[in-house]
Amino acid sequence: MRKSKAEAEQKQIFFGEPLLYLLPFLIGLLIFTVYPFLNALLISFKENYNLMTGAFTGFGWGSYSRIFSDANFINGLKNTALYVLIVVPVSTVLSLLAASLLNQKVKLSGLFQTAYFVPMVTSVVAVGLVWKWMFNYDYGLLNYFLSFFGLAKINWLNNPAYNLPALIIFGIWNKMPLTIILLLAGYQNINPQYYVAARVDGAKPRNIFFRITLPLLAPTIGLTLVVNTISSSMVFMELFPLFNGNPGSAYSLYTIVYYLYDMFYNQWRLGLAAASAVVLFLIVMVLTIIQLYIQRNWQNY
Amino acid sequence: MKTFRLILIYCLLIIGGLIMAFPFFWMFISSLKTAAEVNTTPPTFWPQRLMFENYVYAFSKAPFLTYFKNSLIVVGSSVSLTMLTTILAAFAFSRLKFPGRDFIFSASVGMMMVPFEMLIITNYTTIVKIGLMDTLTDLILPFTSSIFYTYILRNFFFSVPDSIYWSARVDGATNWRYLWRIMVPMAKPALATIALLNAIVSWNSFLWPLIATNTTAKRTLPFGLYAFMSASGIRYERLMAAATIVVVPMIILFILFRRYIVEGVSRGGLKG
Amino acid sequence: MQIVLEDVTKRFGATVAVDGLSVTLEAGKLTAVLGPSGCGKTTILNIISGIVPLTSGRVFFNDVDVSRKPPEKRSIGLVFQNYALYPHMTVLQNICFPMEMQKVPKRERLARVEELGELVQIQSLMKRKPSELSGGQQQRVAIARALAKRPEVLLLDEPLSNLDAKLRLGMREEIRRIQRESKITTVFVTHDQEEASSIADDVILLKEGVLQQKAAPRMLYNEPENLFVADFLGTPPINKLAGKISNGQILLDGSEIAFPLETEREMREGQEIVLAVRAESVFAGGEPLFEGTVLERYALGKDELVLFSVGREQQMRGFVSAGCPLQEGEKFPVALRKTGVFLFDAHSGERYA
Ligand SMILES: Nc1ncnc2c1ncn2[C@@H]1O[C@H](COP(=O)(O)OP(=O)(O)OP(=O)(O)O)[C@@H](O)[C@H]1O
Ligand SMILES: [Mg+2]
Repeated sequence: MRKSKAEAEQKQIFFGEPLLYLLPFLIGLLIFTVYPFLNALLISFKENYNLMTGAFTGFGWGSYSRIFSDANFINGLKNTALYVLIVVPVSTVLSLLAASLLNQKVKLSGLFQTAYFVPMVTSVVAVGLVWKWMFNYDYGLLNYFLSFFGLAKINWLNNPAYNLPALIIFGIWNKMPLTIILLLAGYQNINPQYYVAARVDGAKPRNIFFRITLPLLAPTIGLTLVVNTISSSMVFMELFPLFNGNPGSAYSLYTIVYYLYDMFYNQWRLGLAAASAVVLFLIVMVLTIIQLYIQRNWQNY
Repeated sequence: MKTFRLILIYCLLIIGGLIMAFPFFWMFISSLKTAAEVNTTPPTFWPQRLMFENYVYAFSKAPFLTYFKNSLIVVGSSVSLTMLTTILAAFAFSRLKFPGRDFIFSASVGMMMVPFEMLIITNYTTIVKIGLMDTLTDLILPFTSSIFYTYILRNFFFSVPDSIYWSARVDGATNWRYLWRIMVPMAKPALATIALLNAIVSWNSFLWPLIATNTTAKRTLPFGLYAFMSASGIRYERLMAAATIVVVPMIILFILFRRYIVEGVSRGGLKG
Repeated sequence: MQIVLEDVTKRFGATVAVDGLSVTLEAGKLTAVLGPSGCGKTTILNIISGIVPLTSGRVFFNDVDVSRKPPEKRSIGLVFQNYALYPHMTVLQNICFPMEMQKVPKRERLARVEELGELVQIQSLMKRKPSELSGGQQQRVAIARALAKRPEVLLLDEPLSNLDAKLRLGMREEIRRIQRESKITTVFVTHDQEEASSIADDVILLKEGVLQQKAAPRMLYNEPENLFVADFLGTPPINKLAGKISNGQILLDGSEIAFPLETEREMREGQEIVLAVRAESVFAGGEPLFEGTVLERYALGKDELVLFSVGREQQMRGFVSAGCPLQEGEKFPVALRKTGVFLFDAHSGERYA
């Protein structure tokens, strides 16, 4: 449809203005997000790329074939997958329990919330050091508790077989607060009338949980699963306090992001770093699309 | 039956809360122990003698005061700059009309999927090339535009009725005045939430300082703590004292603003 | 200030919200814009205020073409249906805001607030936030804020629709009083015909973006130009009897009732018509035109109404006095008065008598 003159003129009054409002945001976004993103894509296809000079010898899939034949990267994929597969379901189940407790009308709920949520706002490095101390072989608390049950001490941090379990325990504890908050929000979105109706119908508490709460909570649970899967796929920082910045005590606990970091920061092999970054991005993208799909269906409730 | 159920709920809540919060208790208790007491079996759950010297040691052996100051500067500046760009952009995306608005917005939101780790490769070069390597500025600059917060704030701005905007326009306010006199004061709770989430993420940031700083004088707390561990060896009472220094400000922030933080997190999760 | 709309049209995509509207709003008067939901009332108000850009046509304020002026340059005051008070400001700050934007010195501002507080009677509420006010109080504050910068036009969009019935009556008189005292040209949007009739000097009645009639409320009621206008005004709604022209007479459908009626224009034989009769124009006795059978008798406020059948298929209502002995099932002779009886074409709605 043709716009009238008056309409066009009235719009013109405001025309240059939006750009001024957007500019500070867009400049930062272009320089520090869009450009590095595109550049990483590009670098992943450049052969023998030199970051500082920008020189390279040609385009190709070389970096990709190299990372996929690199034992450390494969190891990283495997560890990350294992980590995700254990941390996500376990922390979800525990969080579901905690959320249903916190959802009860109890006194001091503020205090309880603080206790449950505070790991979320504290530095991974700092709390990681505490866990490192609790994982300590000789004097650590965890081994002390194991001794209660007559179990032998475990060398969590120096026996490579126990490195991943240690990382997982720390991860579960670390992921729980966010999961609980999301689930609690899901709980609070459930219309209380459903419960009233169920109670009028004479349903037992257990039935109410499995027949009403759980199905209504399912989309939220789905959401937390995806959100946690995304954040767990990026497991990396936890290695610094626990293993002094190494991928496990025997260099066997690579993760995807650790590999990326290692290639970039320690080995200076940027093509490989970029290629692994692209792989990570693709994983995150697929998971995000799943998340959006769940959220869209969530609106239907 | 009912009281039994209530007692059970309280017991489980307390046990769960103890497990979740225990590492913080343990960190604090250990930070006040002597070296000998730390390494005893069975462990003690209350220090025999309060060793505040551990804190003194941490502050004297590593420049934790400098780290603290750097952290404050970085968090303060990056939160204020981010708020500024976020407010302006969210306003443009929600209230102003211009060609390509929705496209630019969707494209930006799409960029949220890109993990930060993917960006460090190029951002590192950018920082080096513009000569900002190992400055506090380089810890701030890459984080001044947040798609995530802009997205949240835009949604809030959208919820403000048109009639408020047009009332203000008829009352003689320009867009700029409307934004600062009406919109921003109305958005205070949303802005507080965003600022808090941003401050938490910024305070705890570790990877970027690790890459973009290399002298002691430019470190922020988490990286400083890590460096302290590498440098001064494993003396847990001292490490725990240092970790306490890093953690306490955020715990205080959380206790003071729990509602805002929980509300913000439940709406969108914690993102950088 | 006189407001002239000249062939004003506004389209939103495919919908035509206002269609070729030409009308003049007299200076110093209160004009009501009336019509059913979605007929374009708000759009017209927003065109006058400059919030909505025109698709075509022009708007004049006192001979000045303001079609392209942004809202802040039009010297208008605006009150929205939801009042749109700034929630974070006190009443005082709300009223001061427009003056602040005009850089009115503080002393003058406070003096003006004093004056307005008296006019709309909110002196004691100045320190409160909008959330601490009742609907009626918010409404007064909104009017005070709109008047603060001494606009030449006051625009009100359904200002009373959020109030309960009793308060609505009070505020109606209040707005009328404020308008009389300030003598400001006022446009008042409403979908309530009674409200429009009781408050306005002039009423503009719209249907689907098209002007139906502009007249004083009495005029609109007594001399509707088409069926829509006749139908839109009055409680109970006007009686509509379908019929056709037969042998130069009106023959009501579903009956053998026929009678002549004087028309201003020639009518075709067989033309389908609607005879519209106000309830107060029906009475028993006199020179009866036909016989009705009482179906029901009920009260409407202080009056009583009878619903009676006309022929086999049609019904109408008429007012009766409380002492009238008519009972349900009773037959009685029906006569019509000279006023309040109209004849329209059934299809075009045009008036013939
Ligand atoms: N911004 C818009 N975009 C698209 N269509 C619109 C817009 N504003 C109004 N319309 C349409 O224009 C027509 C007139 O709308 P308007 O709001 O003027 O009606 P109204 O008479 O004020 O109704 P109500 O009594 O319900 O407030 C309606 O069909 C409406 O759907
Ligand atoms: Mg309207």
